Amino acid sequence: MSTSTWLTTEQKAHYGRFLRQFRRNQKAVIGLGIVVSLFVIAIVTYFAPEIVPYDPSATDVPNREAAPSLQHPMGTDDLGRDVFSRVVLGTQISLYVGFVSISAAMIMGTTIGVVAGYYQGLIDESLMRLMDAMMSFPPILLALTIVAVMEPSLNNVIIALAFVYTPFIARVARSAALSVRNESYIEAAVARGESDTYIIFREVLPNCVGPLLVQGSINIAFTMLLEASLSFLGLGVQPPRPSWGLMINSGWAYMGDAPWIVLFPAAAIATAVIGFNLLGDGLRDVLDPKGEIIE
Amino acid sequence: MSRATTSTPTEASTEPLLSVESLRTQFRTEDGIVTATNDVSFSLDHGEVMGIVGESGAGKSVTAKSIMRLIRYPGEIAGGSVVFDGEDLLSYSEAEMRSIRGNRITLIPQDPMTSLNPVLTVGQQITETIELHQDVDHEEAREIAIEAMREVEIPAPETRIDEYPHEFSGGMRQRILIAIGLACEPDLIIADEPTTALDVTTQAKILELLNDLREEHGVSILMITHNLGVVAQTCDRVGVMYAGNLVETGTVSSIFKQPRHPYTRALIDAIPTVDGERGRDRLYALAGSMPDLKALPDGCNFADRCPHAIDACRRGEDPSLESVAGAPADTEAACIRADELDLTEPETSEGDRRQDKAISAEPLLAVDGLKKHFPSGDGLLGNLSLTRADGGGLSLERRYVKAVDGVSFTINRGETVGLVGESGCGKSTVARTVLQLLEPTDGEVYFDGQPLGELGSTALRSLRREMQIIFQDPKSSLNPRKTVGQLIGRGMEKHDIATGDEKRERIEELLERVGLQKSDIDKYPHQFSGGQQQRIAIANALAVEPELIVCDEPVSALDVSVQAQILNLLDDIQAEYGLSYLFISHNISVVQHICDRVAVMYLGKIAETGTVEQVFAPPYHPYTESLLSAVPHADPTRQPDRILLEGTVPSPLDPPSGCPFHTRCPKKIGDVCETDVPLPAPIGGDERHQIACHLSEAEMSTPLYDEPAAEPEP
Repeated sequence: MSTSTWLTTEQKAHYGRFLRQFRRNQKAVIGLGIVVSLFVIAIVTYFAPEIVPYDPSATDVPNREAAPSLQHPMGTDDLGRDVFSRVVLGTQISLYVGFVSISAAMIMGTTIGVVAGYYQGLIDESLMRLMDAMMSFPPILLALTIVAVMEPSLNNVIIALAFVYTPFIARVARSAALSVRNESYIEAAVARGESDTYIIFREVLPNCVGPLLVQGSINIAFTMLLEASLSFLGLGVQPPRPSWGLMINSGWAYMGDAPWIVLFPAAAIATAVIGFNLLGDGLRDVLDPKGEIIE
Repeated sequence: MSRATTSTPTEASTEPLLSVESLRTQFRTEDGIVTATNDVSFSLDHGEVMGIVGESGAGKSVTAKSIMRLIRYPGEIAGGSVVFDGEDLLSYSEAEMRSIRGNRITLIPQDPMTSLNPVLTVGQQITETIELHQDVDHEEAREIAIEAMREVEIPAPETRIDEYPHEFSGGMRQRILIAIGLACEPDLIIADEPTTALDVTTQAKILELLNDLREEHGVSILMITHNLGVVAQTCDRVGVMYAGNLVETGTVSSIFKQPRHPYTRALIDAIPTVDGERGRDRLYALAGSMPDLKALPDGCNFADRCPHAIDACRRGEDPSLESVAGAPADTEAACIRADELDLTEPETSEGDRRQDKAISAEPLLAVDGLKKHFPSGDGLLGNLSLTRADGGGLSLERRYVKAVDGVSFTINRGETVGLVGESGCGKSTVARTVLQLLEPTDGEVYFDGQPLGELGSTALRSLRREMQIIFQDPKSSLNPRKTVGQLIGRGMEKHDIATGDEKRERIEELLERVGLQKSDIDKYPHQFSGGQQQRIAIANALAVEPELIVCDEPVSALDVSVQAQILNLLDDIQAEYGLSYLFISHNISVVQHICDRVAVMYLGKIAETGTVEQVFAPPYHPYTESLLSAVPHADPTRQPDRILLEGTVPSPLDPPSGCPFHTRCPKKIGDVCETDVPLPAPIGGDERHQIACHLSEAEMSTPLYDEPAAEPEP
């Protein structure tokens, strides 16, 4: 593997290779397709909410629990609101909650994990045992407790989710940092007289990005599920905002008569979860850290 | 001794045992088809030992795997034939192949540490093979397994058969792998770098064992190796591979005496010799590296690096193996000029003698009584253990691995000091402790007169500029996420040497100085070969203009021709930049080539120290003597008078009392070795040459030619 002469700009080749492998990976492509569509829906409906056929909060009691029809492609709920409009608008909330909480969890988890993995010893033990303690609670229980203590609201849900998923990210970051730490270039950086902060954030962290990206995109799916669960239990997003979990919550009593009230939001959750999972899986295949570094 | 007796096959047969014809193996990759072996043809007689040598990527292992049909997707055998004992293996079904593998053809893998399953006893792993291929019941299989273990000289096989792999040392595990290979009495053993992962003294024993086995069983061996010394010591015939093709085949003696292909000549010349006049000369180094197997050049694959290439070499097809006029009948070379070239004499390169160095008498680095003990076990209470005192009472004791136990030496300005020893002797720990990457347990390191242990962390950080390190594995020593420019530039920024355009200019200068292109500055490390990566690492070390560079096995991971390039480079920049080196290596010939003074380490202590001439000539410390004798020489005419050390290196957790070497010493004189720690004493009144041994100078000067002894393990 000598220097290839057909390269014009090195970075182009670097990312070109990544893109080609990504395109060849069906899982990644399907996952990315779903995720991008969800984003498009969320962004479009955010700037142009009138694009959906009905006002999501407008009740139409005479026409409640109407089966799916041309007028209401997903039927109407117990108050006569259009399920389709509400599902479409629910995308915004799900993605918002998922992304903001995972970003926060990534920042906290990565810092904790990389610091633990770099220093090892006592710092590692105390940080990771704390993470283990947090992980030993079922995620839903921990999130419920946090939200219940604060008070149910969208932002508190996000804070709770960020806390719940921090240990998961921290674990991955730590194991990645542990293996990077043993590379000679870390020792070389110490020998060069670099500070610990520089080594952790400039030498170790960039080499942990692959697994973290994978973990993040898979965990986004979980946070979206957990948000739905919290909303379902009435501790998440407050009505009348259209959240998928909340819609299932308010619809499940009518499952026998009007299954579509539950079915379509549930399908939306499933699609989003599958999309992010596929993307994460595909990324893992493509980003195999060894495969990327060794040509 | 085995060489002379077995060069005639034990079984008279006209058919060769193995005959490979035009073997072509390809791998489909994203960037195109890689032809790993292209038109490889050779044959192997009954009872013959043939070596396949070449640098990494030459296709040696792929040839071996193709013979056993172990090539997996995306690779495939695209053409040719492999005739084994009259049958074409390539036409066999997978089921038929399985009855051949492990039974009639066996493979001895490279790494004994990972090739045994850790959860099965060695007995289970040997009998597994036997029961699979032979019609015997469990008891009989066990008998055969014990017999095989006895055959490979494992002491007390009846009891050791029920032990797990981790209870054996590296050399012993390699013996077990050989026992597995032997258990079914195969016709052919393919040994894929069987000694590469082993220390030199262990390697000597394994090679001795293979020689004995082939003598007793008449088994044929195909020895894949990159080490010409191993070939010279064990093989009858040799095939030299380059870029997927055999470029020369012939008997060992004729190839070493008069190579017919320029590449063979270059391989032989690139090895630093342990003794001999040209030991200290510049090494002859081939420029460049092996061509990309995806895009081989027109004509001879070697033409671009060949000192004898003419225009005709760069046209047409790669030349095929042909017999050479005036050479022994079975010598063949793939070179269009083979008939006219006389390659008897070593190639010489310009600037033949090494540059004279200015070594001052003033010490740059002084290491005084350095100790580094690691707590054994992990966790807060991990290194505590219960011990019974002499009186019988139980007491708690902290246990330490004494990796470095009282080491003192100095490095003068402009000097190269070598630290040599087998793995686990503490060489690398010394390097890291000297650089204060590890905190010494005791002792002090003085750099330019300043005690490093007393410096504050800020002062130490700025002093780090003066001391750099080059690591063994260049791939691991360069951050894969940074471009070459970022890597090298960082040190300059850090220590305020240069910024902006000046920095870039300097980096480009450095890159050219170490033999790379200016334009390489924006590339990533993975775009370079191992040798080029090591050049980047050297440029990186030079960037901060240090006074001392610690080289931790800088050429061990490199091919022999690249090794020669790097050694020459280190040599050149030393004079130019006025550098001092602490050069750590297990390779004695490399140390002898590059160093001015040497310290031989054993079990955390220095056994012998002195100038290169003093250490590698009598009187020796017995350990130095056995190390020197264990190096396989690239000279088949040399009598193998190796000293085979008994047993293995004792654990540094529990080092022997008295002289650390007494458990294995072939010259042990008695109780004094077990009770008294020998102190380094000057030899012949010369303070520079010190040996830590109880023997008298006369005794240390007497050579010892030991019989190949069985090795009782402690």
